[in-house]
Amino acid sequence: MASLLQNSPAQSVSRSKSNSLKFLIGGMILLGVIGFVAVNSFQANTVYYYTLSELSAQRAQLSGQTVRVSAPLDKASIQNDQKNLVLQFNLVEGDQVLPVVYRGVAPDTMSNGESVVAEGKLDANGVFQADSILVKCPSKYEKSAVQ
Amino acid sequence: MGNFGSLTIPQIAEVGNLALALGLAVSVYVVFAAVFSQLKRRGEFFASARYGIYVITGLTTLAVAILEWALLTHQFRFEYVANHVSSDQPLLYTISALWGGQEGSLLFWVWLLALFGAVVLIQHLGQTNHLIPWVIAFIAFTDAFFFSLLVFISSPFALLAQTPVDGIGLNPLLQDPGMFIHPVTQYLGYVGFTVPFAFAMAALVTGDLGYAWIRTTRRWALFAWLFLSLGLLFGMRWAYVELGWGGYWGWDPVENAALIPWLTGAAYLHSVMIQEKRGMLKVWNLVLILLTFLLSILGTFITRSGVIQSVHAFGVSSMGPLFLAYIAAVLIVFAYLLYLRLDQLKEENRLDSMWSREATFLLNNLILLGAAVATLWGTIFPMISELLAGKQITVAAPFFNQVNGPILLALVLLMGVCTLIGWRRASPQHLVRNFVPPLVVAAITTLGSVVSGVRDVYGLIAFAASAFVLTTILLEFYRGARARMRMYQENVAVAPVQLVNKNRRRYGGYIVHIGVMLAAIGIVGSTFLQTSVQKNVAPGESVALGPYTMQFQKLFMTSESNAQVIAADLIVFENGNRIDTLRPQKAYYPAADQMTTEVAVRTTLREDLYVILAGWNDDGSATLKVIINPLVVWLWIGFIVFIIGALIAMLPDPREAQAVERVRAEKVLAGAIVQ
Amino acid sequence: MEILIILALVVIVVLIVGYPLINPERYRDQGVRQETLPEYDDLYGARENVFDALRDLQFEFATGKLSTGDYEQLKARYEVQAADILQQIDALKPKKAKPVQGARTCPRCNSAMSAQDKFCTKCGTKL
Repeated sequence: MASLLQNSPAQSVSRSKSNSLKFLIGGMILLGVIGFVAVNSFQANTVYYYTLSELSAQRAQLSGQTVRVSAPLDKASIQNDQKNLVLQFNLVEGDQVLPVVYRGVAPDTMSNGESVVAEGKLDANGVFQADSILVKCPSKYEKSAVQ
Repeated sequence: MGNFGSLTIPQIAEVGNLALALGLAVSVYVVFAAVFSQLKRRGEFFASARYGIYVITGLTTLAVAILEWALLTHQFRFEYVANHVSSDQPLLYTISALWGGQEGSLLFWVWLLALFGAVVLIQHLGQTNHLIPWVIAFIAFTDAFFFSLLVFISSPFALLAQTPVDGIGLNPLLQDPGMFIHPVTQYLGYVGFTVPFAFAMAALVTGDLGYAWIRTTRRWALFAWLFLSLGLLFGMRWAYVELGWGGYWGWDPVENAALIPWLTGAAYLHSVMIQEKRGMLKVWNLVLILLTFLLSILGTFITRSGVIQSVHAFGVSSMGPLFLAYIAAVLIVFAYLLYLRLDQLKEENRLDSMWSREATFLLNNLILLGAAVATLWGTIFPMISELLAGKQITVAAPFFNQVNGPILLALVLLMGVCTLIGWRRASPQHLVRNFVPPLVVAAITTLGSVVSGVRDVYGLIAFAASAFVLTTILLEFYRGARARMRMYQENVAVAPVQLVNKNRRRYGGYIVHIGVMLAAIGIVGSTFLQTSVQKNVAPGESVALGPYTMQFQKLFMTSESNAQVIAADLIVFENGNRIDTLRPQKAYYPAADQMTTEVAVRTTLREDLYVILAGWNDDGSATLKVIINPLVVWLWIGFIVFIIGALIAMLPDPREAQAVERVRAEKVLAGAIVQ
Repeated sequence: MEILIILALVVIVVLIVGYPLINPERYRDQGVRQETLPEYDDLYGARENVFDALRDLQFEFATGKLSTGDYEQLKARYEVQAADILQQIDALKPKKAKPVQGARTCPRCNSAMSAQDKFCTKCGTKL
């Protein structure tokens, strides 16, 4: 933007200088506003994933809070009640097992998902009540190599 | 022996690999030959470099032909073929498997770039343009980068130890007509921006930073941007009909990677007009085209390196460091050249007034760039965080909406204001007069929306803004046509046509704006006014939403060449009248062991009725999800209008051609042409 | 067989790329000669831009975006600029400019123009 200030000499240079200055100030304010909104919103929407062990360790503080967990999926544990739209499955990580309940349509890729990102709350019984789930497949756009 | 058909598969693979290796060698040679020809003023080296570009085009074409042949004839010994084709795959998706995977799409990239290089040369055949040697040097440098990825890291001609009986096939999600065309358009856009950037680099090297490079590349930039837009269109359309969640945009990294260069490209297309008209913003334009090009490269990298699935792929594939090295090399050379030329990049003019179209363009640039930076930050922050801090993190979609929502609203308003303001200076009292009719229309629209039941504040604001902008643009056409009728005594039918025809850039641009506004209406409608319901129904039962009632008949199964399909038959009633039947489906692809959702959509100008078969049960009942997406069809209509506008702006301008010819004649007459 | 194809490919590539280097005289001037004096390029570019500006102004005025006062003021300024540029172009011209075959000139003032021009850009004579 500094280049705006370098006008060739002509009549009413001072006026054009003040125009550039006005514009510079306006631009700064605009960028400031965008930056402010961005930073604010960024903090509100950036969510760290908890691993299962972190979740169980901090269970007391986290109950009732919306958190995200990311862990490998135990495919054998998937139970999909299509009639009532209840999806249940277990996330497994080492010796930690987290049962998850999700009310809604199961994603198409559930059956060959490798890991799941679930957002929701841990209830009193230690069951994760998910508001949304995201299935991570080996690849969305690439297939794994032929063995 | 002795004919081509007698070659074994490994031999054919060898030929393919050789074509790539030769391509790499020739590209490196072209860079040196082109630069040498300029430094030592040796034309024969330039000619040699030029032929080199044609040779690269030939070699990449050969490689593409071999790979496409292998795909079409199911040569499963090729790892790429085995991973992306199965024998029961429809022909269309066997062809598109060429750009369905990493290696193939990188090959496709370098092929397009080679073709573009040849086109640039052919465009300037017989002309002496001293930018061209530097342009082809940069194109060859970029060619060399992509060739080295293909040669050293992921060859499309890698072979398996044994030939599998069948391939895995293309990811079923990609088996959709939208995904046939989307990557092609996306890549044409990404690759297309290499050409204007190559000219920018050439301008920096030669110090010829005037009008020449901008004028020469105007159409190229527009071409690339048009194809990025088409890429977005087909990508969104694909997501809407194939992913089956009722929306078309999820702020996925791949989507963002396509959007960000589109935003900076839009900024560039606007700000070059100021350089052309006023000789201002020279440095700014160079930086914008640099950003657009590098973001296109980054987009290719994000989509194709596997960095999204796992950040750890970054180091493993070693594609990441190479991409970074290339980007760093371009940045360093660019920054150095810019520093050298800084004193030649002084502004020739000044801003006449704060109330001028130039000022609105500058604002537009800041806003577009703000959106691009925010989106880029949200996209790459999780990758950086995981890579450096080892912490897994996500930036949720609301971030993008909260930041980009207001930004885009400002952009839309600016689109209206800018139309009302002339170049150089606007006179305040005229400005007020011009603002009145659009404001009145906006007020009426708001009232109408409230009456027809829209209660969402954001929706109301957005609709009012859209009405305001559309009115300003239509008014601009009306005033222009009226002025022509007065100035040239043209009649009502001729004046509007001539208005567009005589200034295709300006009015093509306005038509693009109309398209953006229509699309905005579609986005606002489907974002703020969407309603949905989810229900399990037995045969004979119904789901109701809004004015619609859908009666579920029965489930039935069919099979396609490579999939089994389960469909639900629905009869649709609107206010009690039978209007349509819909058949949402799910398809199961055994080869990939994957399910895809085929939604059923009933589109009207008012709203889309979007039905998903979410599941079924052994007792014959089905679970349906029904969504009403108001106004969403205007998004697609807007895109079509947008494309028409961009094409009009790209047409050769008779006035421009006339001026070029006149200047040439004058130069000859004045003895200014060095004989 | 495979060796033959590989050899052939390499030979073809080397031949095509190397051909201009074997015949340097034919290609000596390609891409290294500047066609016009750079100062002309700049001046002509600037002139076209001023003409564009004047055309824009007229249209902007006709569509009601400019007041009469602003229009007159801006127009006068660009006309001064245009005159200045035209003077500089004239100053650069060699004293005896010979009309070159094929270039179209104005019958009255002898300035150059394109085949499509309906009026002389210099003196306004109808052609």
